[in-house]
Amino acid sequence: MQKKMSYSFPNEVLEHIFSFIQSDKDRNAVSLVCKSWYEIERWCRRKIFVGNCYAVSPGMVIRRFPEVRSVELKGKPHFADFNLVPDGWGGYVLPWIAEMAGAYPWLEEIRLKRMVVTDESLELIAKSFKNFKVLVLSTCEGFSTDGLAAIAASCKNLRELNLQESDVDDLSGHWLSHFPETYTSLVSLNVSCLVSDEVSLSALERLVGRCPNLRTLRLNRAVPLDKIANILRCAPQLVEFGTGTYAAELRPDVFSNVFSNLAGAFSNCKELRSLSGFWDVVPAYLPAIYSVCSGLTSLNLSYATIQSPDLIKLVSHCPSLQRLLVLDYIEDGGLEALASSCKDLQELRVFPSDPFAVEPNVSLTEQGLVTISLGCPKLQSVLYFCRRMSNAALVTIAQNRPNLTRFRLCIIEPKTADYLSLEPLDVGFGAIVEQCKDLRRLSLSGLLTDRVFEYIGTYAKKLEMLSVAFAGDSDLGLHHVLSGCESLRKLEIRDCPFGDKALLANAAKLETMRSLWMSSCSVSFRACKLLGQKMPRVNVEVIEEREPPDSRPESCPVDKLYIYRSVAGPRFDMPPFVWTMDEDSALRLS
Amino acid sequence: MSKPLEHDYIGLTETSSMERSSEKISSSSSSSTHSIEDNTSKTTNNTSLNLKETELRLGLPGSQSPERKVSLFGKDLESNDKSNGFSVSPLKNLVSGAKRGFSDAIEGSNGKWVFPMNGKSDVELAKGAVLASPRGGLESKGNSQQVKVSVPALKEVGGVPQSPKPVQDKKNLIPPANEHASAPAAKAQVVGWPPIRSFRKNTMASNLAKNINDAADCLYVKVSMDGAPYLRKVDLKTCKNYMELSSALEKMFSCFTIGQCSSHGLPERDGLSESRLMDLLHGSEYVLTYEDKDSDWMLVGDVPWKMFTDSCRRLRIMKGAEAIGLAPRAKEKCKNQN
Repeated sequence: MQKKMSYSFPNEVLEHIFSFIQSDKDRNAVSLVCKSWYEIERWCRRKIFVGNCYAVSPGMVIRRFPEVRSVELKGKPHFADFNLVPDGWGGYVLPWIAEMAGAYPWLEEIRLKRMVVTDESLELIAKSFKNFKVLVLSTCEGFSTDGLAAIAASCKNLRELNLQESDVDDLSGHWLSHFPETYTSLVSLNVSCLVSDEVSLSALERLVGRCPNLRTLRLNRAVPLDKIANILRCAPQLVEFGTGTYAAELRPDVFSNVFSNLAGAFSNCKELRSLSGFWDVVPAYLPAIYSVCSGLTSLNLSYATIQSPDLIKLVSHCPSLQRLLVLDYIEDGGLEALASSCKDLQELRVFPSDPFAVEPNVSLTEQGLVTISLGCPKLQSVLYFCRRMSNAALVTIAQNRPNLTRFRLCIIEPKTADYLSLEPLDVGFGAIVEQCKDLRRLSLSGLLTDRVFEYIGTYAKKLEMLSVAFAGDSDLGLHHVLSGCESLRKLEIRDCPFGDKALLANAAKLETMRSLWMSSCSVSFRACKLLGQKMPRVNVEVIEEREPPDSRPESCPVDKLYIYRSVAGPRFDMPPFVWTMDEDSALRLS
Repeated sequence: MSKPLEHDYIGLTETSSMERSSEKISSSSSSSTHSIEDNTSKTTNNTSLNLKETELRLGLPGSQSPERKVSLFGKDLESNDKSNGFSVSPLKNLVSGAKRGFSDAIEGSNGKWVFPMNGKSDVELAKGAVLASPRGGLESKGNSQQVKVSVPALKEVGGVPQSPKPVQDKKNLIPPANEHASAPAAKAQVVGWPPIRSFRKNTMASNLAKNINDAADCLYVKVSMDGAPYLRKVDLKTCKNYMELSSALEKMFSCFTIGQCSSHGLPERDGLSESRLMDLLHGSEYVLTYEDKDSDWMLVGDVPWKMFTDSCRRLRIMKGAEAIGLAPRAKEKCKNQN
């Protein structure tokens, strides 16, 4: 006798239950339970995250999820940040906006990363989505302040405008004036990437003054220090603030005025937890922020060209610090002070002040990182640029901090060996992956053989993103990673002797990952064609700027290779220097 | 580290381009890194192998070597070369050659402007490392009728691997960009290493420049070209003078004209410069201009190189007709600045 399974819950109840499930992973799992759950879930999913804009087409997304309110898209591969992806590669958002304009009139949030956004796209957003609230453009490019003006003028309900490190054509500061006088709903504004020297201060002050819910305000370098006090007085409720240039005159009469004004304004901001900006710092003005330091959890001094003593003074006022971004001017001594003052530190990023100098310009070594690993028990995330490292130090760090989840080490000179033993750093990084069982992100540097990859393949079971440069000896290295790292989603490799064998042997792995980038390696054109042919659900793109890959013997290595899984098939917006290897490629191009 | 080679279009084309091609060939056949100082020794090697016939040149269209077969956008420019060696006004040849090349592009691509990418990423191009390999054959990938110059040339050189290890390539061919007076010169830089975002690099560059002259490692400015589908970026720090900039941009865009100047980047006596400008404006379709700190658009080439890099915000290759209005102002401004 066939018993029909029927749920006692009506759809509305299930929908209500599903509304508490926010994570994409869980939502995806829910949709796989049965057909009716799939249907219910797809009608009530409000947030979509597409990690690779070419993995799926806008049409497909819209067909499956008709009631979306929030979309997040990522475009170019991560190595685009370092100029490895040529201009014109792709990642255009306009096709998405165009389709969503018709399908999602109630769209509220768009978050984009590494995409090409044009003024046309921004204008389309401005006029298509009546309830538009959040626009985050992280590391995007292709638009100007004219496009921003359109957003400002039309989006009456805008809450957040965040241009995080985008490359914006800054035509003038007047776009801010396009926010109507009636507009008061701003909660978060980040324009720190705007490079023009002009900024409309009065428009800025008026805007800040009339938006009582403003929590985050990150200004750009053009805003002078002596205007900060006024702005802060308009918004004492700020939680996150980014200064402009942090320099003003030191003449006694000017200094005492500006300083006391500034210090007074800061002391009014009782909610302030995060500070950034600090371009062109004149150290004498730093104490103006001391009144808020005890509450600071996040401090971005990565543009502050101040020396170690000033940095030490500052961080010792910030015992609650959880996140610090700083230049290597902090030196080992400063990191020691940090380790003793900031026991809550979770994330540390140390950037190089002069990465192209041959000799080190500061006394920052592996020792600083070791000290931090010992003194900061909650440390999880590290980005560290330095000039020397040893296996001993890495082993110590691993043993001190098995709770690390993100570890990115950049030893500035490629292929630098352990400075004590002159050996490769395989053992050191091996210790990191072995001890830090929850490690999700790892960037390697220094002299490394295939052995380090063996360690990674063996131990790094939770690793999701791996960045490799100038490392390894043979295909075995790549094979270890592809066959061993079960959670691997993104792999980016440059200048390593990895070729066809490992890639072809692990072709199936590519469908389980978001993407693989390989540049200046030894993968032949033939292998690319083969992969393209054999793997229909994976797009294999060859980037060759010099000449077409088929104009050379197919055993020649390709310059750059980008492989990503996709249900949308090969894309059609490629520039002339990108070739896609699809099923026909073997026939057409040989 | 020795001073990098001065690249001079007009006088030394033969030697310098031979050196460059020999560099590429020998670097691809050997795996050891070698510095720029080795150029001169490689020249003799090259000559003895008699590879001159097959080598690629960076000379401008219309410059010497009648046997040179370079195609821009699939059209042979051989017929452009009416002169033997260098003519009195090389600019004219450059201009007419470039112009023809560009119009060919428009005609030859079925109305759609196909943007040829001439080399590696911007940094590499700007460093003058890669030989010009005009991608005439790339307009339509399947079109076998296009002349594929670069490939046969290299193929004839005894099966040299086409892609020398790029790391070494870059290290060989990139001149040091860091010009501290006291500190030792920076070594050759690799593209995208260390992994630092452009925003940070540009910010730090302007920080350092405030303290130390020429300490910034890179100075990317956007280059737009009227009619091109997207922008490129060029690193001004990798060019020592207008010649190198012109060369880098030529590789990037394959077909533009630069306001002419002497090898020192200084405007010549009025009479000569005027005639050059007239040549320029009458003879060519495209002119290189830049936006300076005051947001004025100026012709490139009128001010000393250093002044130019200090004030250049971005570049634009604009149609000659639009640029006519610029000439007088540029001269005026130069006079004011001088």
